[in-house]
Amino acid sequence: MSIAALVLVLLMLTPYVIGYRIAFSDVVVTSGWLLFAVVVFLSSYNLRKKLTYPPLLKSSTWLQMHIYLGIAAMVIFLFHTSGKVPTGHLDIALYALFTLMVASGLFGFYLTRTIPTTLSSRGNEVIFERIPLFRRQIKDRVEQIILQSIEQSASSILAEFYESYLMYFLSGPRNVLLHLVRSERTSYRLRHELRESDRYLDEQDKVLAAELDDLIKLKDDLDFHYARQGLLKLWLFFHIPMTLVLLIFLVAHIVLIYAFTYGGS
Amino acid sequence: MRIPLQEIGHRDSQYERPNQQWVCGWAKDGNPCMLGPDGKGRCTVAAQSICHPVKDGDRWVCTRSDVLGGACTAGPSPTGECACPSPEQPPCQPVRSLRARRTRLTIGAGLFAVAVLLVWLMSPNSLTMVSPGTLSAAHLAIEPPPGVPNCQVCHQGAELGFGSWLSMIASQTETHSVEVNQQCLGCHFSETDQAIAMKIHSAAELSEISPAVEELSMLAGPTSFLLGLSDQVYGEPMLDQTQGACSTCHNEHEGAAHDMKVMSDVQCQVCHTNQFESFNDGHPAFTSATSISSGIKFDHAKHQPRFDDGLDCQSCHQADAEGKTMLVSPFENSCQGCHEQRSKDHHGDAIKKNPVPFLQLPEMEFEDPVYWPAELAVGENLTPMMTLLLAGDDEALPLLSEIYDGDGAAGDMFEWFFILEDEGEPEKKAQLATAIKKLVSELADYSSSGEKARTVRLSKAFSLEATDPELQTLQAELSAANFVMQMFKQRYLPQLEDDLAGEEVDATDDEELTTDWIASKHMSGWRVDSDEGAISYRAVAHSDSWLKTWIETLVKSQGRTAQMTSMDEMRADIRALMLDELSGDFKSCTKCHTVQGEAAPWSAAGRLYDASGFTKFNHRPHMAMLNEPGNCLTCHIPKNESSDASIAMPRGFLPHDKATCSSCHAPGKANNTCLNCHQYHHERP
Amino acid sequence: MVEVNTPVRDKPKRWDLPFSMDFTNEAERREMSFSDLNDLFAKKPFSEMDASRFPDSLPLASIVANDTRIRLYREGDAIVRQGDYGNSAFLILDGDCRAIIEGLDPAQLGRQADHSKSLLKSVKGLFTNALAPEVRDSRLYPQHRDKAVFDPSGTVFVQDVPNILELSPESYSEARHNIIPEGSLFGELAALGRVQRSVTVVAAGPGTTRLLEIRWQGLRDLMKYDNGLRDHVNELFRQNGLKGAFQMSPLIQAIDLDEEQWDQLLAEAEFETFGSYDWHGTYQQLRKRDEDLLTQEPVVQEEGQYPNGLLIIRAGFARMSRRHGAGEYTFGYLGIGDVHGLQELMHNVSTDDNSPIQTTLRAAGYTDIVRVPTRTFEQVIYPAMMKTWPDGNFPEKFLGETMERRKTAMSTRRASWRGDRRKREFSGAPMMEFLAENRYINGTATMLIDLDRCTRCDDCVRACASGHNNNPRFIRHGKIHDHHMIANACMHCADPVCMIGCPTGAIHRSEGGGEVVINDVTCIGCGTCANSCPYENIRLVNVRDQSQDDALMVDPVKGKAIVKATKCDLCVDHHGGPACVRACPHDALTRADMDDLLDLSEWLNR
Repeated sequence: MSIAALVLVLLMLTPYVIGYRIAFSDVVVTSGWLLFAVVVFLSSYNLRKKLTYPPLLKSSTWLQMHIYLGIAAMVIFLFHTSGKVPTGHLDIALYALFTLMVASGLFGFYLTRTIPTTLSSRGNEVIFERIPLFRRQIKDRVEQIILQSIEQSASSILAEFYESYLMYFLSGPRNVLLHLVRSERTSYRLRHELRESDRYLDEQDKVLAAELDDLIKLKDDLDFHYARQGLLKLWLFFHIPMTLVLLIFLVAHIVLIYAFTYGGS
Repeated sequence: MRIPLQEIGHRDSQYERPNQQWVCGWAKDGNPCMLGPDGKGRCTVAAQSICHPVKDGDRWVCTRSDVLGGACTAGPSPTGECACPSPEQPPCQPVRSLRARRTRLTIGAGLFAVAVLLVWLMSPNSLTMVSPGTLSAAHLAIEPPPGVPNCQVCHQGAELGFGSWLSMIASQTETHSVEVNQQCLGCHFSETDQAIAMKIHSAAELSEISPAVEELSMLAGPTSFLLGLSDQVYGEPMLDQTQGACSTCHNEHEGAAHDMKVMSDVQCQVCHTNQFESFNDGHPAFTSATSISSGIKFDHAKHQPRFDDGLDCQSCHQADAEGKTMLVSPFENSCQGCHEQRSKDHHGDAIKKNPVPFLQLPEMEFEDPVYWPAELAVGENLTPMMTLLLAGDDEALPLLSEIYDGDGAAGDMFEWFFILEDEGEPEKKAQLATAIKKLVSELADYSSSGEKARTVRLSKAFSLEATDPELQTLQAELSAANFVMQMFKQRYLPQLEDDLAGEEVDATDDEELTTDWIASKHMSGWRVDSDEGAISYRAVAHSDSWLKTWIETLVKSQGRTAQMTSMDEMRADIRALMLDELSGDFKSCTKCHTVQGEAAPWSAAGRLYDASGFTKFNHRPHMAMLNEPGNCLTCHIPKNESSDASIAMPRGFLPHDKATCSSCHAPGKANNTCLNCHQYHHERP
Repeated sequence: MVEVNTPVRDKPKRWDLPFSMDFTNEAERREMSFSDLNDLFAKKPFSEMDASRFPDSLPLASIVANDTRIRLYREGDAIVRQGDYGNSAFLILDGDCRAIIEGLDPAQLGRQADHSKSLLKSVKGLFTNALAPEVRDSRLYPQHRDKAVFDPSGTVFVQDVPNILELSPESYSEARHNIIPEGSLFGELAALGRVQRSVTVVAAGPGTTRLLEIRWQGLRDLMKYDNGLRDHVNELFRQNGLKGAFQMSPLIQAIDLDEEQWDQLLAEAEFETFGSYDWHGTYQQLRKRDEDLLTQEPVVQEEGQYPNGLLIIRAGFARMSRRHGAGEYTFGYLGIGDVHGLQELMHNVSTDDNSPIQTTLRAAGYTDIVRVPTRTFEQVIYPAMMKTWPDGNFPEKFLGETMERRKTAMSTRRASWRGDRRKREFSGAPMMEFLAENRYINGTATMLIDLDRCTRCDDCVRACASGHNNNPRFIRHGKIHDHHMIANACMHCADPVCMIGCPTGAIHRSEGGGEVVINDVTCIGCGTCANSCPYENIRLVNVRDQSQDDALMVDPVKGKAIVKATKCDLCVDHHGGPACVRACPHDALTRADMDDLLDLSEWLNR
């Protein structure tokens, strides 16, 4: 919705963007400095996060400003470039950097607004750093069940099931990409497989199989959290380093503009 | 069934410390130790595993803290050494936390960016790297002096290296745009045009532009916000000063194929947005009719009935070489055909009938004897040309002033004589006679001293420089008429030289001549009257050089108003009066030629550019579009109703109908952009 | 942990552990001897008690043997500290005690002096935080400074008591301290009413002062079967605490009572206690056995009963429920000062009708109430209310928590902009049930996280850590209802059970805002508070010594690593309130006062 509105606004701005250079003063310089100021302000959000204690407005207020100013930066950028892709090497690099920043920002915005609901509606609420611990606990419990099954019954159905499916499934985060699109196919297939083999099990093993079924679901939900919480952290691995690169290129850009426009006379 | 993974008991769950830079190396296997690494990334297993066993009676007791797993089951060795087996894992190599790795990635990316920039900017072809794009083809062809990089032709900064670019920010100058502009203007505008090239629509004064432009606050949309901000930073743009850089509109470095001159309508509408949307929507209707010469008075409607006789627009109007302008063919080609056909002497019939008196000796009676042809001097007034020439005589000027005084004689000689009698100054008549005689003598003097005297007189009379071309032409004309003047002197004042030399002469001695119109080749048009003490002239053809010269000189002298002495003012008044008088005399000229302003109104050429520099129009392509040849009436609709006669052209054309244009110039049809008709840089009339 | 089957434990029985054996310090543990008991029964008030009035299941001798213990104090020892929460009363056997009403520095009682860091210091702290977790400056610790202050029993010695008492100009004046004579009972108000100790009492010597400490369970039983003691204690309360208890109710505060009316009210009010005083212990066990808590909670007033008086909550919490199908559903709860039954009483007075009570009131944990009998209500309170609001427009906030009012409060945001599509109600009965069931109603600054907004970025945890020398003071996990999580952070309870039994008074309420904080210096790491907290919000940590290259601190005597209790302190040291709230980029985190349901429901339903 908001993205569509944004596109609409940008389309409406197009004529102004093209014409705005002709304003008989240094509007490009103005918009350039304005854009630089906005980008510096946007970058300073990270600084605010580090300065916890001076009461510098709530972080949520900063995020709101970050989002709105980010959109404003897109508009100013459009004006600054007159809506055209530049032709110089450095300028293209800068243009690409800015576009990537905006794209990653919008992507992150989308993620932070959509992923939390999916997380809270499925599985246990877990702390990301503890996921390996829980994975291990599940694996230990599953292995315990399998050993118990081997001890108490003659058949090796559960042990075979463990060997052919569960061992791999439990030994690390699985189906990360499937979880990003919220597909439960793999776990469904695994549990289906387990239920199918139910008819070959004796009563004792059936009890164990029921617990296995729960544990598979548990592990799958854990993977779901791993994938989605991980994505929420991962996009910042792009957004934040890129910010520094952009700032450095911006400074170089400003130096060159001044050197070639004003300098040397 | 929801199986809880996370116990929240204070023994089950220790603080999670996402702020720590290091995490236990075993954490990724799901088996972190209880305490974790210390702040410097060192494994604390050693510290965790040890305890300080205490002797309780004869037994050593393990003292390991509950937080680290409590007392171990095995207990210390019998000798009191710690034997805690836990933590189960061997020492780990702590790893950086996810966040610490992000910080390192950020720093790494920053260093990489700096490195890339340094390589780019310090490399031999750094100029290529920093160039914002290829120049347009025309500018690319400009060859720099040998040994100078291409960029340096325009950017002085290019000659210096990377190091100086940094320091340049501090030492920037303020006049950058002016200097860059000078480089553009040097090639693209003549020296005189450079002054106005940067001004908005070349307007020297803001008031020359439509008042709407002054109200930049009327600008709408986000642009106005940025402009407003710009105003705050740089001050409001001064429309009437050299401000914008050429690059404001003409963007360079956009590739070889880029046409820097192409402007879109939206670019015009940055300022004109509140005026109208496009040519088809909101452009004001045309208010002015077809521009016509301010000089030639021509009633198109009156000529229209003649179209049946084979006359059409192109009989008089032909496109110029570029096809832009419809020129008016000269009199000989366009008018003469009809207007001289019916005249027997091949002169304009009306022209011939009206001889213009040049000199006429006024009728005067003197109390003291004066050398004056009393019988032959019958003139009732001074002729305009004579008055003008007399005005060049400092002694005669006060007399003329009295004669033409609006409250007194008002040009009537007899009235003046009465006034002289009343005031007891009859001797002024003699003074006037002397002035006239001096004039005649001068006019008749064919020697170089005569020429000089005439030039001085004309210069004074017309308040023009002696070197003035019009004045010199007039002098030449007077010299050419020397012979006629001598004849006049011979006829009416034969002893004039003696008289002026102060000798006693007697008017009765003068003999009579009977010369009439002079028919000699160079003197055609002149007549020395046999018994009226006068010389007259009548035009020999259209654009007669004698009359033309007089009118041009007189017109030129109009408007010379700077630094006037009282004498000059008197002369200017007299000239104004004489121009009126002459206009009456030249009715056959003023029927078509009207005097307006300083320029003599002979020609109709070049009128379009003069009248409307902002708008351009090319006739030729439009003519090709017309089905019937000569159907100029599609656009030019004559105004048939009678109009105010005081208007230069009694009946001209109705204003153009915009619909005529917009029927073709519309979206999807012919070009309807602003620049199709309007130009930004142009000379103002 | 993946523990599907929880082992069933035996239900704990009273007197499994006699009070005399209940010491943190092993040295003090000893059974009450026969001679001790004989000695006691020779003294008042035990000598005057009629043992035959006690039931066979609760003989007087057993009560004394199991619920009391004898304690010895030296001159200057603090017996109770002003501001402490205690669960026992004291009877002075030998010696004098002095109640110090004013003049003591908090630091002298082992408390942290109230200090707020300057802004500059706060910011500076961000850059000078320790790298390693839980680093302390050992020089601040008394173990290293002055061992004498730190008694192994954990008793705080009030330094220089004689000087405090004697050197001041008004040293023995009544205003500053009272001498409590031998044979007196003190501390009963705090023990029975779960309120902070109002004065500090120190042993005033000379020599050893002997006191009998009676825990509240015993005291309550003694009062139940011995009229003399009950009347004595009630009389004490009526004299000292009742007016204060009444004034905690906004209703009584608002109405205009004259001297005579006050006297009648104070004379006729009755006190009752419901539920278990140490509810946090039984609660945890009940939870583990997965029993329906509601049915275990004692009924204070039942739906359908005749309203036998106006109930004012004096201490603790009460759950309001209503029959629904075969069970009951919770729709709200009452805290200190709230009233129950007012509307029914008013209805009955004004209409001659006899409307029964509309909602059941149960003690959530434990509840102390003051009951104004119906007759007294009709004679004193109702006329006073009519006098205060003659037009009968009683302000809603005084009317008490009726179901209708709760419902209006809950549904203020129900009207949704989508017209007929009703927005989901997140603060309805299930949420109330969840809050009451888990006793979260106790919180005044409960950390609530909206999981539909939370991106799990841990900014809150990091912000917290940055203000506490790089140590987080809460864990971002906890019980979840719908998409709201009650995070594992100190709630700063209205009834801070964690403070009961802290041997050094290290855990206390801060003087400024009443936040529950721990003085790290005097904390001995005994774990009493951590074990008491029903919400598991206090954690013990191994501390490191900054002067020893961040090595773990070890007690040189006992060889054990030194442990400290830690918890959220609501950033009292810093400006700008809790850092966690300000650090949340998505506005997903709040600290909610459970007493303010309007605010809470607004947040839950935003």
